[in-house]
Amino acid sequence: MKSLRASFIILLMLLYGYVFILQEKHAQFKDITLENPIPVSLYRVASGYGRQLAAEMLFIKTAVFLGEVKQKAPNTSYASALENNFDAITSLYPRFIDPYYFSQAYLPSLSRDAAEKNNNILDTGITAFPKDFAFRLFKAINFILYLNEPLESARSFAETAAIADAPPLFGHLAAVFSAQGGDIVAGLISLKALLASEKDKGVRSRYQKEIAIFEQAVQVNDALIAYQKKNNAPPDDLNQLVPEFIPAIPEIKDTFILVYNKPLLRLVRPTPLK
Amino acid sequence: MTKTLRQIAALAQLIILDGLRRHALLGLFLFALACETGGLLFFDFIPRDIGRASNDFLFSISWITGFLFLLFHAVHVAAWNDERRTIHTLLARPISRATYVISVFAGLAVLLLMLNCILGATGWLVLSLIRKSVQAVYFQNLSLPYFFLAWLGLYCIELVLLSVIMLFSGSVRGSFPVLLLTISYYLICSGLPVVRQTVTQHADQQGSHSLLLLLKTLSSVFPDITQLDFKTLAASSDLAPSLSQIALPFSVSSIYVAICLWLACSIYQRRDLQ
Repeated sequence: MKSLRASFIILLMLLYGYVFILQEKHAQFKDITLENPIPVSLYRVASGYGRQLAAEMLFIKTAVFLGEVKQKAPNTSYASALENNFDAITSLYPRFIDPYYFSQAYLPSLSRDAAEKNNNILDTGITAFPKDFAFRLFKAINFILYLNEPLESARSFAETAAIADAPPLFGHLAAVFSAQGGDIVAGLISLKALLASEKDKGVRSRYQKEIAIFEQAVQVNDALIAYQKKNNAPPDDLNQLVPEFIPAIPEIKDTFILVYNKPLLRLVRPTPLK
Repeated sequence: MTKTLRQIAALAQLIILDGLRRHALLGLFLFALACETGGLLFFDFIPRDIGRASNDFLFSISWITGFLFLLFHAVHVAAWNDERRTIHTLLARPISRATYVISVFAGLAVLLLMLNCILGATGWLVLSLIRKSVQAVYFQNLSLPYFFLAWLGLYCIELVLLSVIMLFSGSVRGSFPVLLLTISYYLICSGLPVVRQTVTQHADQQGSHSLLLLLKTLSSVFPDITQLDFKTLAASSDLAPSLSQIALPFSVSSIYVAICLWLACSIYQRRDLQ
Protein backbone atom coordinates (compact mmCIF):
# COMPACT_ATOMS: atom_id res chain seq x y z
CA MET A 1 0.00 0.00 0.00
CA LYS A 2 2.84 2.36 0.98
CA SER A 3 4.75 1.76 -2.25
CA LEU A 4 1.56 2.34 -4.23
CA ARG A 5 1.09 5.72 -2.49
CA ALA A 6 4.73 6.66 -3.16
CA SER A 7 4.41 5.65 -6.83
CA PHE A 8 1.23 7.69 -7.11
CA ILE A 9 2.81 10.85 -5.68
CA ILE A 10 5.89 10.43 -7.92
CA LEU A 11 3.62 9.96 -10.93
CA LEU A 12 1.63 13.05 -9.93
CA MET A 13 4.81 15.13 -9.62
CA LEU A 14 6.10 13.90 -12.98
CA LEU A 15 2.75 14.75 -14.55
CA TYR A 16 2.88 18.21 -13.01
CA GLY A 17 6.41 18.71 -14.38
CA TYR A 18 5.34 17.62 -17.87
CA VAL A 19 2.25 19.87 -17.94
CA PHE A 20 4.29 22.77 -16.56
CA ILE A 21 6.91 22.40 -19.35
CA LEU A 22 4.11 22.24 -21.92
CA GLN A 23 2.62 25.43 -20.53
CA GLU A 24 6.00 27.20 -20.63
CA LYS A 25 6.49 26.14 -24.26
CA HIS A 26 3.14 27.53 -25.31
CA ALA A 27 3.31 30.66 -23.19
CA GLN A 28 3.21 33.84 -25.22
CA PHE A 29 4.93 36.70 -23.52
CA LYS A 30 3.12 39.85 -24.45
CA ASP A 31 4.90 43.17 -24.84
CA ILE A 32 4.83 45.36 -21.78
CA THR A 33 1.96 47.80 -22.11
CA LEU A 34 1.11 50.92 -20.19
CA GLU A 35 -2.50 51.20 -19.11
CA ASN A 36 -4.27 54.39 -18.19
CA PRO A 37 -4.22 54.82 -14.41
CA ILE A 38 -7.37 54.74 -12.30
CA PRO A 39 -8.61 58.20 -11.24
CA VAL A 40 -6.34 59.98 -8.76
CA SER A 41 -9.18 60.36 -6.24
CA LEU A 42 -9.60 56.57 -6.15
CA TYR A 43 -5.86 56.15 -5.64
CA ARG A 44 -6.08 58.56 -2.70
CA VAL A 45 -8.97 56.67 -1.10
CA ALA A 46 -7.43 53.24 -1.63
CA SER A 47 -3.88 54.09 -0.63
CA GLY A 48 -4.60 56.40 2.36
CA TYR A 49 -1.42 56.71 4.41
CA GLY A 50 0.56 55.01 1.64
CA ARG A 51 -0.40 57.41 -1.17
CA GLN A 52 3.20 58.52 -1.65
CA LEU A 53 4.25 54.90 -2.08
CA ALA A 54 1.36 54.39 -4.52
CA ALA A 55 2.68 57.30 -6.62
CA GLU A 56 6.21 55.91 -6.50
CA MET A 57 5.02 52.46 -7.56
CA LEU A 58 3.11 53.98 -10.45
CA PHE A 59 6.27 55.84 -11.40
CA ILE A 60 8.34 52.63 -11.32
CA LYS A 61 5.74 50.91 -13.51
CA THR A 62 5.94 53.79 -16.00
CA ALA A 63 9.75 53.81 -15.90
CA VAL A 64 9.83 50.06 -16.59
CA PHE A 65 7.54 50.59 -19.57
CA LEU A 66 9.74 53.39 -20.91
CA GLY A 67 12.81 51.20 -20.48
CA GLU A 68 11.20 48.40 -22.48
CA VAL A 69 9.36 50.41 -25.12
CA LYS A 70 10.42 49.39 -28.60
CA GLN A 71 11.78 52.04 -30.93
CA LYS A 72 9.53 50.85 -33.74
CA ALA A 73 6.37 51.31 -31.66
CA PRO A 74 4.43 54.32 -32.95
CA ASN A 75 4.63 57.16 -30.45
CA THR A 76 0.93 57.86 -30.58
CA SER A 77 0.15 54.36 -29.31
CA TYR A 78 1.31 55.13 -25.79
CA ALA A 79 1.37 58.94 -25.65
CA SER A 80 -2.02 59.29 -23.99
CA ALA A 81 -1.36 56.59 -21.37
CA LEU A 82 2.05 58.10 -20.64
CA GLU A 83 0.56 61.59 -20.20
CA ASN A 84 -2.16 60.28 -17.88
CA ASN A 85 0.27 58.24 -15.81
CA PHE A 86 2.63 61.17 -15.27
CA ASP A 87 -0.36 63.38 -14.50
CA ALA A 88 -1.65 60.87 -11.93
CA ILE A 89 1.78 60.44 -10.31
CA THR A 90 2.40 64.16 -9.96
CA SER A 91 -1.15 64.89 -8.77
CA LEU A 92 -0.88 62.14 -6.18
CA TYR A 93 2.55 63.25 -4.96
CA PRO A 94 3.54 66.71 -6.25
CA ARG A 95 6.80 66.88 -4.30
CA PHE A 96 8.29 63.71 -5.83
CA ILE A 97 10.70 65.15 -8.39
CA ASP A 98 11.61 62.18 -10.60
CA PRO A 99 8.39 62.08 -12.66
CA TYR A 100 8.92 65.68 -13.81
CA TYR A 101 12.34 64.83 -15.25
CA PHE A 102 11.02 61.67 -16.93
CA SER A 103 7.98 63.49 -18.24
CA GLN A 104 10.22 66.22 -19.71
CA ALA A 105 12.50 63.60 -21.25
CA TYR A 106 9.76 61.59 -22.96
CA LEU A 107 6.55 63.56 -23.44
CA PRO A 108 7.24 66.82 -25.34
CA SER A 109 8.85 65.12 -28.33
CA LEU A 110 5.83 62.84 -28.87
CA SER A 111 3.36 65.43 -30.14
CA ARG A 112 2.13 68.97 -29.68
CA ASP A 113 -0.67 67.74 -27.39
CA ALA A 114 1.84 65.80 -25.31
CA ALA A 115 4.05 68.89 -25.02
CA GLU A 116 1.07 70.92 -23.81
CA LYS A 117 0.15 68.22 -21.32
CA ASN A 118 3.76 68.09 -20.17
CA ASN A 119 3.67 71.82 -19.44
CA ASN A 120 0.53 71.26 -17.33
CA ILE A 121 2.40 68.54 -15.42
CA LEU A 122 5.33 70.93 -14.96
CA ASP A 123 2.89 73.51 -13.56
CA THR A 124 2.18 71.05 -10.72
CA GLY A 125 5.93 70.85 -10.10
CA ILE A 126 6.30 74.65 -10.20
CA THR A 127 3.50 75.01 -7.62
CA ALA A 128 5.18 72.39 -5.40
CA PHE A 129 8.67 73.89 -5.85
CA PRO A 130 8.15 77.60 -6.57
CA LYS A 131 11.86 78.42 -6.25
CA ASP A 132 13.15 75.59 -8.43
CA PHE A 133 14.56 76.83 -11.73
CA ALA A 134 14.66 73.46 -13.53
CA PHE A 135 10.90 72.95 -14.00
CA ARG A 136 10.43 76.55 -15.15
CA LEU A 137 13.31 76.17 -17.59
CA PHE A 138 11.74 72.96 -18.97
CA LYS A 139 8.40 74.71 -19.45
CA ALA A 140 9.91 77.72 -21.21
CA ILE A 141 12.01 75.49 -23.48
CA ASN A 142 8.94 73.44 -24.39
CA PHE A 143 7.14 76.59 -25.47
CA ILE A 144 9.93 77.53 -27.87
CA LEU A 145 11.07 74.09 -29.03
CA TYR A 146 7.87 72.05 -29.26
CA LEU A 147 4.98 74.52 -29.24
CA ASN A 148 6.52 77.35 -31.30
CA GLU A 149 5.19 79.97 -28.90
CA PRO A 150 8.10 82.36 -28.30
CA LEU A 151 5.99 84.89 -26.39
CA GLU A 152 4.81 82.24 -23.91
CA SER A 153 8.41 81.11 -23.59
CA ALA A 154 9.49 84.70 -22.94
CA ARG A 155 6.77 85.02 -20.28
CA SER A 156 7.99 81.83 -18.55
CA PHE A 157 11.60 83.01 -18.65
CA ALA A 158 10.55 86.43 -17.33
CA GLU A 159 8.70 84.79 -14.42
CA THR A 160 11.79 82.69 -13.66
CA ALA A 161 14.04 85.75 -13.87
CA ALA A 162 11.86 87.45 -11.23
CA ILE A 163 12.71 84.77 -8.63
CA ALA A 164 15.36 85.77 -6.10
CA ASP A 165 18.89 84.57 -7.04
CA ALA A 166 17.79 83.64 -10.57
CA PRO A 167 20.73 83.69 -13.03
CA PRO A 168 20.59 86.67 -15.45
CA LEU A 169 20.47 84.15 -18.31
CA PHE A 170 16.69 83.79 -17.79
CA GLY A 171 16.11 87.54 -18.17
CA HIS A 172 18.22 87.56 -21.33
CA LEU A 173 16.32 84.63 -22.81
CA ALA A 174 13.04 86.40 -21.96
CA ALA A 175 14.26 89.42 -23.95
CA VAL A 176 15.42 87.31 -26.91
CA PHE A 177 12.19 85.29 -27.14
CA SER A 178 10.02 88.39 -26.67
CA ALA A 179 11.69 89.85 -29.75
CA GLN A 180 11.37 86.54 -31.60
CA GLY A 181 7.66 86.49 -30.78
CA GLY A 182 7.18 90.02 -32.09
CA ASP A 183 7.19 91.96 -28.80
CA ILE A 184 10.44 93.84 -29.49
CA VAL A 185 9.61 96.65 -27.05
CA ALA A 186 9.26 94.19 -24.15
CA GLY A 187 12.57 92.63 -25.15
CA LEU A 188 14.22 96.05 -25.17
CA ILE A 189 12.88 96.86 -21.69
CA SER A 190 14.18 93.53 -20.36
CA LEU A 191 17.62 94.16 -21.87
CA LYS A 192 17.80 97.64 -20.35
CA ALA A 193 16.85 96.20 -16.95
CA LEU A 194 19.57 93.57 -17.31
CA LEU A 195 22.12 96.22 -18.27
CA ALA A 196 21.23 98.30 -15.21
CA SER A 197 21.91 95.40 -12.85
CA GLU A 198 24.96 93.93 -14.63
CA LYS A 199 28.47 94.68 -13.37
CA ASP A 200 30.61 92.53 -15.66
CA LYS A 201 32.14 94.71 -18.37
CA GLY A 202 32.07 92.05 -21.07
CA VAL A 203 28.42 91.21 -20.48
CA ARG A 204 27.49 94.91 -20.28
CA SER A 205 29.14 95.51 -23.65
CA ARG A 206 27.14 92.61 -25.16
CA TYR A 207 23.90 93.97 -23.72
CA GLN A 208 24.68 97.44 -25.09
CA LYS A 209 25.20 96.02 -28.59
CA GLU A 210 21.95 94.12 -28.40
CA ILE A 211 20.10 97.18 -27.07
CA ALA A 212 21.35 99.17 -30.10
CA ILE A 213 19.96 96.47 -32.42
CA PHE A 214 16.65 96.32 -30.53
CA GLU A 215 16.32 100.13 -30.70
CA GLN A 216 16.77 99.99 -34.48
CA ALA A 217 14.12 97.30 -34.69
CA VAL A 218 11.77 99.36 -32.51
CA GLN A 219 12.17 102.27 -34.96
CA VAL A 220 11.06 99.99 -37.80
CA ASN A 221 8.19 98.77 -35.64
CA ASP A 222 7.11 102.37 -34.94
CA ALA A 223 7.21 103.06 -38.68
CA LEU A 224 5.04 100.00 -39.28
CA ILE A 225 2.46 101.24 -36.76
CA ALA A 226 2.45 104.67 -38.38
CA TYR A 227 1.99 103.11 -41.85
CA GLN A 228 -0.87 100.98 -40.59
CA LYS A 229 -2.57 103.98 -38.99
CA LYS A 230 -2.41 105.94 -42.24
CA ASN A 231 -3.34 103.12 -44.64
CA ASN A 232 -5.54 100.99 -42.37
CA ALA A 233 -3.51 97.96 -43.43
CA PRO A 234 0.02 96.71 -42.88
CA PRO A 235 2.53 96.96 -45.76
CA ASP A 236 3.34 93.88 -47.88
CA ASP A 237 7.03 94.67 -47.69
CA LEU A 238 9.20 96.71 -45.32
CA ASN A 239 10.54 98.77 -48.23
CA GLN A 240 7.09 100.36 -48.53
CA LEU A 241 7.93 102.25 -45.30
CA VAL A 242 10.84 104.08 -46.97
CA PRO A 243 11.16 107.04 -47.09
CA GLU A 244 7.85 108.36 -45.72
CA PHE A 245 7.91 106.55 -42.39
CA ILE A 246 11.59 105.74 -41.98
CA PRO A 247 14.64 107.05 -43.92
CA ALA A 248 16.04 103.53 -44.50
CA ILE A 249 15.55 100.00 -43.20
CA PRO A 250 18.51 99.39 -40.85
CA GLU A 251 20.79 96.56 -41.80
CA ILE A 252 20.49 94.11 -38.91
CA LYS A 253 22.54 90.93 -39.23
CA ASP A 254 24.98 88.67 -37.38
CA THR A 255 23.50 88.62 -33.85
CA PHE A 256 19.90 89.08 -34.93
CA ILE A 257 17.92 89.22 -38.17
CA LEU A 258 14.90 91.40 -38.78
CA VAL A 259 12.07 89.23 -40.10
CA TYR A 260 8.78 90.63 -41.37
CA ASN A 261 5.88 88.19 -41.73
CA LYS A 262 2.93 90.45 -42.42
CA PRO A 263 1.72 91.90 -40.07
CA LEU A 264 4.36 90.84 -37.50
CA LEU A 265 7.87 92.23 -37.21
CA ARG A 266 10.22 89.91 -35.37
CA LEU A 267 13.84 89.92 -34.35
CA VAL A 268 15.26 86.42 -34.55
CA ARG A 269 18.62 84.75 -34.07
CA PRO A 270 20.37 83.86 -37.39
CA THR A 271 20.35 80.19 -36.35
CA PRO A 272 17.26 80.06 -34.25
CA LEU A 273 16.75 77.34 -31.66
CA LYS A 274 13.94 75.94 -33.79
CA MET B 1 -7.67 54.30 41.90
CA THR B 2 -4.33 52.61 42.56
CA LYS B 3 -6.12 49.28 42.76
CA THR B 4 -7.82 49.87 39.40
CA LEU B 5 -4.50 50.86 37.82
CA ARG B 6 -2.93 47.71 39.24
CA GLN B 7 -5.76 45.64 37.77
CA ILE B 8 -5.34 47.34 34.38
CA ALA B 9 -1.59 46.73 34.45
CA ALA B 10 -2.07 43.06 35.36
CA LEU B 11 -4.57 42.35 32.60
CA ALA B 12 -2.58 44.41 30.09
CA GLN B 13 0.45 42.30 30.96
CA LEU B 14 -1.53 39.16 30.15
CA ILE B 15 -2.48 40.64 26.75
CA ILE B 16 1.17 41.53 26.06
CA LEU B 17 2.39 38.06 27.01
CA ASP B 18 -0.34 36.49 24.89
CA GLY B 19 0.77 38.63 21.94
CA LEU B 20 4.41 37.65 22.41
CA ARG B 21 3.45 33.99 22.75
CA ARG B 22 1.60 34.16 19.43
CA HIS B 23 4.74 35.64 17.76
CA ALA B 24 2.74 38.73 16.76
CA LEU B 25 5.82 40.94 17.05
CA LEU B 26 8.43 38.60 15.65
CA GLY B 27 6.25 37.54 12.72
CA LEU B 28 5.37 41.09 11.76
CA PHE B 29 8.96 42.26 12.18
CA LEU B 30 10.15 39.52 9.82
CA PHE B 31 7.37 40.42 7.39
CA ALA B 32 8.43 44.10 7.42
CA LEU B 33 12.09 43.14 7.01
CA ALA B 34 11.27 40.88 4.05
CA CYS B 35 9.24 43.68 2.41
CA GLU B 36 12.05 46.18 2.91
CA THR B 37 14.61 43.79 1.46
CA GLY B 38 12.35 43.08 -1.52
CA GLY B 39 11.76 46.80 -2.00
CA LEU B 40 15.49 47.41 -2.39
CA LEU B 41 15.32 45.55 -5.73
CA PHE B 42 13.14 48.32 -7.14
CA PHE B 43 15.27 51.26 -6.05
CA ASP B 44 17.25 51.24 -9.29
CA PHE B 45 14.15 52.71 -10.89
CA ILE B 46 14.28 55.85 -8.71
CA PRO B 47 17.06 57.92 -10.27
CA ARG B 48 17.02 61.14 -8.22
CA ASP B 49 14.67 61.35 -5.24
CA ILE B 50 16.16 58.31 -3.49
CA GLY B 51 15.94 59.73 0.03
CA ARG B 52 12.29 60.64 -0.29
CA ALA B 53 11.30 57.36 -1.95
CA SER B 54 13.13 55.13 0.54
CA ASN B 55 11.67 57.07 3.47
CA ASP B 56 8.11 56.79 2.06
CA PHE B 57 8.62 53.12 1.35
CA LEU B 58 9.84 52.42 4.86
CA PHE B 59 7.02 54.27 6.59
CA SER B 60 4.41 52.71 4.28
CA ILE B 61 5.69 49.21 5.05
CA SER B 62 5.58 49.99 8.76
CA TRP B 63 2.04 51.31 8.30
CA ILE B 64 1.00 48.11 6.52
CA THR B 65 2.64 46.06 9.30
CA GLY B 66 0.78 48.03 11.96
CA PHE B 67 -2.44 47.66 9.98
CA LEU B 68 -1.96 43.89 9.84
CA PHE B 69 -1.38 43.85 13.59
CA LEU B 70 -4.61 45.76 14.15
CA LEU B 71 -6.75 43.76 11.73
CA PHE B 72 -5.45 40.28 12.38
CA HIS B 73 -4.21 40.41 15.96
CA ALA B 74 -6.02 43.20 17.79
CA VAL B 75 -9.42 42.33 16.29
CA HIS B 76 -8.82 38.67 17.02
CA VAL B 77 -7.75 39.32 20.63
CA ALA B 78 -10.76 41.51 21.36
CA ALA B 79 -13.16 39.00 19.80
CA TRP B 80 -11.25 35.95 21.02
CA ASN B 81 -11.92 36.93 24.59
CA ASP B 82 -15.58 37.25 23.80
CA GLU B 83 -15.97 34.27 21.47
CA ARG B 84 -14.15 31.82 23.70
CA ARG B 85 -15.81 33.16 26.82
CA THR B 86 -12.48 34.17 28.35
CA ILE B 87 -14.19 37.40 29.23
CA HIS B 88 -16.33 35.51 31.74
CA THR B 89 -13.26 34.19 33.52
CA LEU B 90 -11.72 37.65 33.64
CA LEU B 91 -14.90 39.38 34.77
CA ALA B 92 -15.45 36.72 37.42
CA ARG B 93 -12.52 38.35 39.20
CA PRO B 94 -13.29 41.64 40.88
CA ILE B 95 -12.66 43.87 37.85
CA SER B 96 -15.22 46.05 36.17
CA ARG B 97 -16.07 45.83 32.49
CA ALA B 98 -14.59 49.32 31.96
CA THR B 99 -11.33 48.14 33.52
CA TYR B 100 -11.41 45.16 31.18
CA VAL B 101 -11.81 47.38 28.07
CA ILE B 102 -9.06 49.77 29.15
CA SER B 103 -6.76 46.85 29.99
CA VAL B 104 -7.18 45.19 26.60
CA PHE B 105 -6.60 48.54 24.89
CA ALA B 106 -3.52 49.26 27.03
CA GLY B 107 -2.06 45.80 26.43
CA LEU B 108 -2.51 46.03 22.67
CA ALA B 109 -1.24 49.64 22.66
CA VAL B 110 1.96 48.56 24.43
CA LEU B 111 2.42 45.70 21.95
CA LEU B 112 1.92 48.16 19.12
CA LEU B 113 4.44 50.53 20.70
CA MET B 114 6.98 47.73 20.96
CA LEU B 115 6.40 46.83 17.31
CA ASN B 116 6.79 50.48 16.27
CA CYS B 117 9.97 50.87 18.32
CA ILE B 118 11.53 47.81 16.67
CA LEU B 119 10.44 48.91 13.18
CA GLY B 120 11.48 52.52 13.87
CA ALA B 121 14.98 51.55 14.98
CA THR B 122 15.37 49.21 11.99
CA GLY B 123 13.98 51.90 9.70
CA TRP B 124 16.45 54.51 10.93
CA LEU B 125 19.30 52.04 10.44
CA VAL B 126 18.12 51.19 6.89
CA LEU B 127 17.74 54.88 5.97
CA SER B 128 21.19 55.69 7.36
CA LEU B 129 22.68 52.82 5.35
CA ILE B 130 20.94 53.93 2.13
CA ARG B 131 22.09 57.51 2.74
CA LYS B 132 25.69 56.39 3.12
CA SER B 133 25.54 54.26 -0.01
CA VAL B 134 24.37 57.00 -2.41
CA GLN B 135 25.77 60.38 -3.36
CA ALA B 136 24.76 63.21 -1.02
CA VAL B 137 22.79 64.99 -3.75
CA TYR B 138 20.31 62.11 -3.96
CA PHE B 139 19.68 61.93 -0.21
CA GLN B 140 20.23 65.38 1.20
CA ASN B 141 18.08 65.43 4.32
CA LEU B 142 17.48 62.98 7.13
CA SER B 143 16.17 64.54 10.31
CA LEU B 144 15.90 62.54 13.54
CA PRO B 145 13.37 64.89 15.23
CA TYR B 146 11.07 64.74 12.19
CA PHE B 147 11.59 60.99 11.97
CA PHE B 148 10.33 60.75 15.58
CA LEU B 149 7.45 63.08 14.79
CA ALA B 150 6.47 60.98 11.78
CA TRP B 151 6.60 57.81 13.86
CA LEU B 152 4.57 59.44 16.63
CA GLY B 153 1.98 60.42 14.01
CA LEU B 154 1.89 56.86 12.68
CA TYR B 155 1.49 55.43 16.20
CA CYS B 156 -1.29 57.92 16.91
CA ILE B 157 -3.17 56.81 13.76
CA GLU B 158 -2.82 53.21 14.89
CA LEU B 159 -4.15 54.09 18.35
CA VAL B 160 -7.19 55.75 16.78
CA LEU B 161 -7.89 52.57 14.82
CA LEU B 162 -7.31 50.44 17.91
CA SER B 163 -9.81 52.46 19.92
CA VAL B 164 -12.34 52.08 17.09
CA ILE B 165 -11.70 48.32 17.07
CA MET B 166 -12.47 48.26 20.81
CA LEU B 167 -15.68 50.15 20.12
CA PHE B 168 -16.73 47.79 17.31
CA SER B 169 -15.77 44.72 19.35
CA GLY B 170 -18.15 45.87 22.04
CA SER B 171 -20.91 46.63 19.57
CA VAL B 172 -20.93 43.50 17.38
CA ARG B 173 -20.23 39.86 18.03
CA GLY B 174 -17.48 37.97 16.18
CA SER B 175 -14.11 38.98 14.82
CA PHE B 176 -15.03 38.95 11.11
CA PRO B 177 -17.73 41.67 11.33
CA VAL B 178 -15.34 43.78 13.43
CA LEU B 179 -12.65 43.35 10.77
CA LEU B 180 -15.06 44.40 8.01
CA LEU B 181 -16.29 47.39 10.01
CA THR B 182 -12.72 48.50 10.73
CA ILE B 183 -11.73 48.32 7.06
CA SER B 184 -14.87 50.23 6.10
CA TYR B 185 -14.13 52.82 8.77
CA TYR B 186 -10.56 53.24 7.47
CA LEU B 187 -11.75 53.61 3.86
CA ILE B 188 -14.30 56.24 4.88
CA CYS B 189 -11.59 58.11 6.83
CA SER B 190 -9.33 58.03 3.72
CA GLY B 191 -12.13 58.85 1.30
CA LEU B 192 -13.90 61.65 3.12
CA PRO B 193 -11.11 64.25 2.68
CA VAL B 194 -11.03 63.43 -1.07
CA VAL B 195 -14.80 63.88 -1.33
CA ARG B 196 -14.60 67.11 0.69
CA GLN B 197 -11.89 68.44 -1.59
CA THR B 198 -13.98 67.64 -4.68
CA VAL B 199 -17.13 69.18 -3.21
CA THR B 200 -15.21 72.28 -2.09
CA GLN B 201 -13.94 72.78 -5.65
CA HIS B 202 -17.50 72.73 -6.99
CA ALA B 203 -19.21 74.40 -4.02
CA ASP B 204 -18.96 77.92 -5.43
CA GLN B 205 -20.39 76.90 -8.80
CA GLN B 206 -23.22 74.65 -7.66
CA GLY B 207 -23.96 76.11 -4.24
CA SER B 208 -23.58 72.78 -2.42
CA HIS B 209 -22.67 74.43 0.87
CA SER B 210 -25.11 72.26 2.84
CA LEU B 211 -23.38 69.15 1.51
CA LEU B 212 -20.06 70.63 2.51
CA LEU B 213 -21.38 71.22 6.02
CA LEU B 214 -22.62 67.64 6.20
CA LEU B 215 -19.20 66.34 5.09
CA LYS B 216 -17.49 68.56 7.65
CA THR B 217 -19.72 67.12 10.38
CA LEU B 218 -19.02 63.60 9.17
CA SER B 219 -15.29 64.34 9.36
CA SER B 220 -15.62 64.69 13.13
CA VAL B 221 -16.86 61.08 13.25
CA PHE B 222 -14.47 59.81 10.57
CA PRO B 223 -11.34 61.93 11.18
CA ASP B 224 -8.83 62.73 8.44
CA ILE B 225 -5.97 60.50 9.57
CA THR B 226 -3.61 61.99 6.98
CA GLN B 227 -3.40 65.06 9.24
CA LEU B 228 -1.10 62.90 11.35
CA ASP B 229 1.02 61.92 8.36
CA PHE B 230 4.37 63.71 8.83
CA LYS B 231 6.53 61.11 7.12
CA THR B 232 7.58 63.27 4.16
CA LEU B 233 9.34 65.67 6.56
CA ALA B 234 11.83 63.06 7.77
CA ALA B 235 13.87 62.87 4.56
CA SER B 236 13.13 66.00 2.60
CA SER B 237 13.48 69.76 2.70
CA ASP B 238 9.70 70.24 2.77
CA LEU B 239 8.49 73.24 4.72
CA ALA B 240 8.27 72.54 8.44
CA PRO B 241 4.69 72.60 9.76
CA SER B 242 3.66 75.20 12.32
CA LEU B 243 3.18 74.27 15.97
CA SER B 244 -0.60 74.29 15.56
CA GLN B 245 -0.33 72.00 12.53
CA ILE B 246 1.44 69.51 14.77
CA ALA B 247 -0.38 70.04 18.07
CA LEU B 248 -3.97 70.13 16.79
CA PRO B 249 -4.05 66.73 15.00
CA PHE B 250 -2.44 65.06 18.03
CA SER B 251 -4.91 66.76 20.40
CA VAL B 252 -7.91 65.86 18.24
CA SER B 253 -6.87 62.23 17.92
CA SER B 254 -6.10 61.91 21.67
CA ILE B 255 -9.57 63.21 22.60
CA TYR B 256 -11.09 61.00 19.86
CA VAL B 257 -9.41 57.92 21.36
CA ALA B 258 -10.69 58.86 24.84
CA ILE B 259 -14.27 59.28 23.51
CA CYS B 260 -14.12 55.93 21.66
CA LEU B 261 -12.88 54.14 24.77
CA TRP B 262 -15.53 55.79 26.92
CA LEU B 263 -18.19 54.67 24.44
CA ALA B 264 -16.71 51.17 24.31
CA CYS B 265 -16.79 50.98 28.13
CA SER B 266 -20.43 52.15 28.17
CA ILE B 267 -21.42 49.57 25.56
CA TYR B 268 -19.61 46.75 27.39
CA GLN B 269 -21.35 47.72 30.65
CA ARG B 270 -24.78 47.53 29.02
CA ARG B 271 -24.06 44.46 26.95
CA ASP B 272 -25.53 41.05 27.63
CA LEU B 273 -22.57 38.70 27.59
CA GLN B 274 -24.63 35.51 27.68
